[in-house]
Amino acid sequence: MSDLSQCHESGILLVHAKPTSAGHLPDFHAWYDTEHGPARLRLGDQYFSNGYRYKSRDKDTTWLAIYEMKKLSAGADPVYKALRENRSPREREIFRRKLLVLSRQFLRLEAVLGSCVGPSAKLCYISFSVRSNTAQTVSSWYCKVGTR
Amino acid sequence: MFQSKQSCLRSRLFHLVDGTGKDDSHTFFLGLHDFDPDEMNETSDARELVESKFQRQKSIMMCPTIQIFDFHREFSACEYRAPPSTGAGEPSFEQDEHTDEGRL
Repeated sequence: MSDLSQCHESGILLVHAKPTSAGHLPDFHAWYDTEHGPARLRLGDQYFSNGYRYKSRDKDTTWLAIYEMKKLSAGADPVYKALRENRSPREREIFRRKLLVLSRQFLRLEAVLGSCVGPSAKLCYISFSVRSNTAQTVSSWYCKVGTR
Repeated sequence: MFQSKQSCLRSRLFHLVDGTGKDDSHTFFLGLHDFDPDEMNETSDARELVESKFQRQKSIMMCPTIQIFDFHREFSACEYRAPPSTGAGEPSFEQDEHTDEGRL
């Protein structure tokens, strides 16, 4: 049993995606906007409350999708996993030929400050790793510094 | 991280439970900060602010990444889910005992 199935706290599913080339961008968007994203939302509120897509400003553009989850453990549920195990022919084609990167992360919400109704127009994304024995210290530091 | 800037509407800190980059010896953190674009138009402002905050902790952080993203589109629940049933004037799908037996 994975940690995910035991995590009943709220969080997000974060997906990074990058098409293999600019020429595949229209197919990538059509697939994501009409099939991939909607399929997750249709599972119901107990899986994903809503989803947002963002575009990076880097020269090497990546696409970010954020799905909010009331319980992260839903990510280990067979109903959600079935979406990945039973891909449509179109989705299999996208994965085989048109996607360079697709990474998936389930992240637990540690702290939140302020409020935002709906998606913001601009998102600043900061990621880093630390040795696990310093994680608590760093988490406290981030929350403390971030509120000043 | 940016609450001193009025342009930051919300700051959230997450840690990785499962997926790409999961490593038991390390903890992956993600900070997401929502900005009002009318108040902060320059990407460099956000980047400089973050980097100045990070300076003191750089020695213990691995693979720090800072990216700015622009909103593209939303998948809203109301768009993809049927509204809750009111029950009024709708056909019943309950099966009587006879029907259930017939199907078994």
